[in-house]
Amino acid sequence: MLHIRQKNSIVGEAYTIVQTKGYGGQGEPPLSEHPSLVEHPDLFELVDEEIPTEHQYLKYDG
Amino acid sequence: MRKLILILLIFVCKISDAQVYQLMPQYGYDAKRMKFDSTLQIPTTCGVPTLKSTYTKYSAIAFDTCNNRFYVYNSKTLVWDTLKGGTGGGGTIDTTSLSNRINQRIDSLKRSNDSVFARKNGVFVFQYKDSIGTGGGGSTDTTSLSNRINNAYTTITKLTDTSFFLTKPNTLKDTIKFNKDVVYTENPILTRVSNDSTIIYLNSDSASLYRRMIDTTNAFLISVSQPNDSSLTFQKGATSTTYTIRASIAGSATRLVTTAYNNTGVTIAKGSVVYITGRHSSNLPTIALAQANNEANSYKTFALVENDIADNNSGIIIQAGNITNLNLPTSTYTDGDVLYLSPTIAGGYTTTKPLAPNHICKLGSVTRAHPTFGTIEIKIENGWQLDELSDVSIATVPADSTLLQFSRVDSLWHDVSVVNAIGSNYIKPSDTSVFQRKNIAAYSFKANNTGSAANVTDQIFRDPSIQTYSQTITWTGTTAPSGATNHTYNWTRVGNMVTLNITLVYATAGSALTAVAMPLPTDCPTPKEPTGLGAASEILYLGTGQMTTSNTATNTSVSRCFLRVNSADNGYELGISGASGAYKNALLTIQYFVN
Repeated sequence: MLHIRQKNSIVGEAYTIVQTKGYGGQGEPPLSEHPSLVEHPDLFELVDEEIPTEHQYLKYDG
Repeated sequence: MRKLILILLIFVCKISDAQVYQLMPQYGYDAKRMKFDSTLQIPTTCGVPTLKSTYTKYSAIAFDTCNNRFYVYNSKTLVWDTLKGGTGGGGTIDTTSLSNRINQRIDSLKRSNDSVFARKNGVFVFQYKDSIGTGGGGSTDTTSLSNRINNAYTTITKLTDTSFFLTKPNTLKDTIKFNKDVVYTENPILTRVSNDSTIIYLNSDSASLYRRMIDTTNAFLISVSQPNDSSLTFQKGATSTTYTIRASIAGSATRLVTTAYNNTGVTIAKGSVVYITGRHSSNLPTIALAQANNEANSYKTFALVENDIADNNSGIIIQAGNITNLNLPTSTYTDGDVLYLSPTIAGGYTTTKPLAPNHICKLGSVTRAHPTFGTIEIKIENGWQLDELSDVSIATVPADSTLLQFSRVDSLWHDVSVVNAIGSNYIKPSDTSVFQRKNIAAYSFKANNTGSAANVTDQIFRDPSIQTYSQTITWTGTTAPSGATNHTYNWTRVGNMVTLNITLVYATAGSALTAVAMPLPTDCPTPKEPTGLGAASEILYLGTGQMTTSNTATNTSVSRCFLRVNSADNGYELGISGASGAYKNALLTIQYFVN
């Protein structure tokens, strides 16, 4: 599943997925244009992988 | 003619008187040695004479010219005896000279005042005194003359062919009796009699006074024998009487025994424990082996058998005291062991105290543990059953589950049912509501939630242990805390109040974080939505909590903690919001009500 994740959360139990409401949907900008990737590509990445059962969300707030 | 006859008669008499004396041949051989004249001339001899004739029924006399002794032959005793010439006397020889005999005589008696003095050779040697006073010579006799007269023997009375009495005038008590049957080996000089059969001897040394009794009524004890442990036989004359020693009179007895009869059909071995079963025709008690397996075999336990008693024989059984020479090996017994009647071996004993349903009967103690010289000090104490106690009044077989209850009405213990024992003052089985209170519903307690006294009702109580929080957390900010986590939560419900604590701990802090939200744990009670609230994202309850940058520091900025309806309005979530920070932990505690 395509999603944006916080890079430093891959290792460990706090796998963090960025909430992307308003992006990637029908008629919406693609996920790659999400502010988290645009503003902090060093911290976030777009991946198309299975989401682990244990995870948390981040409402990116700039 | 008359003259002629007279003359003739005188003539005849003359002739008769003139007959020559003719010695009888049996009077001696030499009639010529005897002459009858102005003196009687008799035969002489030198030394003790002897009869020449064997004809001894007549007495004889002879004179010993060699020793100047006159002999007399006693035809009754057939003995020659002497009468000594010159110094006089007969029988035994008197060697006392005539001058000495003269000197021994009392030459005068003189009365002076109340006394009579005896004088010998011009000297006072004795004084007879009629009253208290002084006198010269000899010892003072203080006995009055009247008493002396009363002490004198006045009569001699023949009692039997073997005895007679010397009687004093005042009392019968002073009667004196000599019995010729008595052998006087002690040479008594005086014998006093207190009654017909008692003789009191006073020895010549005057120091020992004793008495000898003649048993005329078989009153004297000849011998004492011991036929058995518990009897003594006394013999008086030809009569023997056996007395059985009883405990009540045998103050120093060391054992209490009984003779018993074995009619069990087999030999009862030494040391066996027995009880009395009845009476044998010999009037001895019959016995059988005791055993502690039931009341009938044990409650009459009586004694231990001293030695083997064969069938149809009698023997000694010991009720109290010691029994010796038993097989009490040290591998089994120790000195001082208490022995009990065995519940498994008839007539046996054990050191193990029997417990119900067996019966306890203490037999005594081992005073010497030894394989051949074992000794037991017997003291049998039969155990009591409850219904045998004097202050217990219960049925022979009480009902099941019966209790023992004391009554002050009759001061006795009675068997009563449980209900009767409890009475009306205590909780009893029929009080079901009371007993139900001890079994309450799960996750509940009892309380009175009314404004007055009332029976308690179930109230919810639940206190789960701490758990791992695994719900999906949502952070708001630039980056969420990451790394290893340690998320836990804990909650308690008392009645309708829930207290919830959630702690989120990360290894790595996030950045520019302003809020965190987390769903209400699924096992937490559903919050009661206050009136007017309950729509999506509406806050229902506030709590306390912070997002912190480290495990040791608190956040100095204001934080807000809340419980709200989630945005989808299909559940509840908890949240903390505050100033932006690089937080790594979040802690909250909140209380909320439930329906």
